[in-house]
Amino acid sequence: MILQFILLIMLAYAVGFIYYGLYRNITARIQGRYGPTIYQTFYDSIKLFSKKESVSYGWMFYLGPIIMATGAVLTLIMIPLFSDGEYLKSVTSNTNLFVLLYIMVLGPLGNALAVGTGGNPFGVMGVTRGLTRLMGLELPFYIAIIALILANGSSSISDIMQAQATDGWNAINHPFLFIAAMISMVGFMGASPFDIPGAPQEVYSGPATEFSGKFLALLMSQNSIFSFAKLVLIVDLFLGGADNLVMLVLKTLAIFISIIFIGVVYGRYKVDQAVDFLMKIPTLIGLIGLVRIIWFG
Amino acid sequence: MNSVFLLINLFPILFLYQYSGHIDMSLVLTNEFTLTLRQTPLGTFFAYLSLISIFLVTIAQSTKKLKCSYFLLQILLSFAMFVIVFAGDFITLFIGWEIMTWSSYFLISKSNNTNAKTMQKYILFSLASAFFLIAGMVIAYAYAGSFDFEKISTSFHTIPFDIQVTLLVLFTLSFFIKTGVIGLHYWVVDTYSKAPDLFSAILSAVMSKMGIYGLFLIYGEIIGYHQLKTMFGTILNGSHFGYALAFIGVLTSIIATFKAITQDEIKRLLAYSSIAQLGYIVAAIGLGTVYGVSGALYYTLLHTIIKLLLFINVAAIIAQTGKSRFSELGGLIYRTPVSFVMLLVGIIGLAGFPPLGGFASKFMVYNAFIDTKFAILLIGMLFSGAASFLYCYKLVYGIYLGHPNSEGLENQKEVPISYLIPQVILVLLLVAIGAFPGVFISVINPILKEFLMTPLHVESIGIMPSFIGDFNGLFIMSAFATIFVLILILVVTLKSKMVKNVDRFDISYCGETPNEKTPLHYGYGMGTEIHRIAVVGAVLKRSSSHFYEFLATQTKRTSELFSRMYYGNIHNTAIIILLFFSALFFIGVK
Repeated sequence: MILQFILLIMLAYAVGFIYYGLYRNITARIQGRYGPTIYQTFYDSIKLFSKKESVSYGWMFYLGPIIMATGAVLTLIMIPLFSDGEYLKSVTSNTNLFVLLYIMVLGPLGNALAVGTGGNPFGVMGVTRGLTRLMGLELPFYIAIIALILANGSSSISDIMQAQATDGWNAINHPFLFIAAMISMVGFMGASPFDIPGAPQEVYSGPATEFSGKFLALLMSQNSIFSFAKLVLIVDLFLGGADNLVMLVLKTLAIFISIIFIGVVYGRYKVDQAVDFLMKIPTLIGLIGLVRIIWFG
Repeated sequence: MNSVFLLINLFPILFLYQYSGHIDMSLVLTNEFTLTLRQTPLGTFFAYLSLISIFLVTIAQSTKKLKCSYFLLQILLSFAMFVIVFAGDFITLFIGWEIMTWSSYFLISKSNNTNAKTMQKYILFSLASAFFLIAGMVIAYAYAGSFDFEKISTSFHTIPFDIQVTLLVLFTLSFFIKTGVIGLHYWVVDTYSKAPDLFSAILSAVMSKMGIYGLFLIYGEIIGYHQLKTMFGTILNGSHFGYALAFIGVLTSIIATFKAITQDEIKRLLAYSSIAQLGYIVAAIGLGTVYGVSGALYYTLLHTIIKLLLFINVAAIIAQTGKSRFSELGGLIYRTPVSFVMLLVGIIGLAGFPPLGGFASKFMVYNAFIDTKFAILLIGMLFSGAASFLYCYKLVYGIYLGHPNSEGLENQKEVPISYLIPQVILVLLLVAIGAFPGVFISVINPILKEFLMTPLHVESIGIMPSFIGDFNGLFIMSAFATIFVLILILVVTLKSKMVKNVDRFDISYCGETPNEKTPLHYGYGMGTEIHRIAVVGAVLKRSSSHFYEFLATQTKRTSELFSRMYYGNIHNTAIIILLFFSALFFIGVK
């Protein structure tokens, strides 16, 4: 059990970093650069873990990244990895989509406290914009998830995943919901045009501004774990889950690369434009899918 | 003398201990009118809520130098609420309602901040509430022949349909005013923010719950949810009436959440947040399913705990610093660390995050929405929940984080212990409910039986039951704690020296060095950018005050018109009197 946990976290950590390396590489190639090696992010993280942090603003400042990492790991262990349901069954059987929705926001909000303690106005600006963006970002995602819960009569991810083995993928059965959820996912993964909270040109790097040393490394690591968890969630909900590791990696990679492609070609929205867009088009698409399920499902 | 009155305020909680068994009293006035007090599970639940809350607030009041009359009015208020929740007929209920209105009116006037306008608003809306109530009860008496709840309940189906609807609307309006549903919330914000700081806690946590009790009384006990469903027909898996009520509730919560985000004054933010949370409860009451009713009750409990905690916390900070705005506060975290932790737990509960009790209540309500298939309303509710993270963060950042934004904050000390004791109790309650969400189901089940519904089944106290997948509070809490501790150990053991705390101006700031005069606190600006979002901005521009001002000017003009008839010209007056009597005469002849 404990070994499984450690393996799971290591896997997510490794895959997440490789994906992030891929992201930097692909973005560079599209922009006509060579870009760093795929392992560059991993090296950075290892280096930062051994470095001394340069500033501190008291205990709350230290707790933030730890809460954020806790939120990421908790999200990871609550999402079933494979569709047979054997792996880490004791944990994932408790998974409820409503709980998961809140757990996913728990980490960033914990970190927001540390950012506030740091006293850098740019960090707080990033957090505030992030929370404002969340208003728009969650809306299509909620619609997709509620519709799936209604369609399956269960809020357990395993149930929704297993139902797809017989009925076919949700992405094909409910394309509107898939599109709405994917647009939200672009934002959740921190890709353009919704990469507002950490925008380097506007608010420094937003929430990460004041952190250094092992806390910055912790933030980077949790980001890769968290990204992997979110990709697995989408695969579980819409692409029928995966039987083995190869399928899981292929499916998550497909989603990830499509998100990169969207992110690369778009500029960044202002926060009000982003929320405005999200509250209109993806929400409308999602609502069509929802109405289809309630009245014609 | 003061301490004597203070002790008397602590006394009502013993009353409950004394009467935990059974209350059944009646005072016969005439053959037709009897004042009755009877104990129901619902009433007991609300009585416990209000009396325990008043007990906790009184502890916080113990170091404040308050006048005897303040405590006297407060004890009168507890008495009034006691009468309301145990009333067995409308007359008793109305007596309690009036005592509550007047005692709270004078309590609000004890504050230094209130002005005549606030008081007028409060009393006008309270009177309107009372008038709706009295109109309803008189109509009910005319048709059912009694003021007694049970008699009205048994003969309700014999009343003609249009009268039934009239009764429903009158009672609903009366209690909606107390809960502050959007449109009728005009008095809430001003009153909560101008009332004495600790009395705001009672206003928000307890008195608004009397409106919730009233709604339960009308829908659950007197009319009955099954009857409501047959009266109005069904839509999806709920009733039309439920849909309307849930719609009003969700709309209330969304608009109030937007308004809360843009507030600068702490207590105004909390007031709007209170309106939003009560919107959830109203929505859940409207659904009228097993999960709806239990969700509403659960939410009532949690909202009472959380709002008491937050208002007491904020009252302590205001008393300590003398500042009540986000733009004047900030950076108190290391000066008042205990208060900070208390508020932190409070906002985690308010935002409804899983390890704490706040989530259990939201989860129940979400289940109710899934049960009735009101998906779009559920999404609206989830949306307002997501938007509420913003004002939760503003609350904690504006007061405790960031930089001190006015003089004297640098040398603040921890707030008095009398404020901290009730907060600690409430925080422990919140954590306990988060870990064992099933405990409270045993309190809800008798109430469900009272409403003729099937009680919920609980496997273990750590689990919140649900038909679409349980919520295991104990598991989430232990998993969170374990992972947190593991990562903490990892971070601590990693080889690196902890750096000394640096000066608060030692931040990366565009290559410049900020100083005392640099505006570094983001407390006021936070959340104001939602004005720029087209949809939200359009909502925020509208205000119910425009409507009420319009109503006031129109009423004034109409009364001016009437007064001209009487005082303008003697001939006109004579003609009008003549016309009036001739009209009467013709009606009489017919």
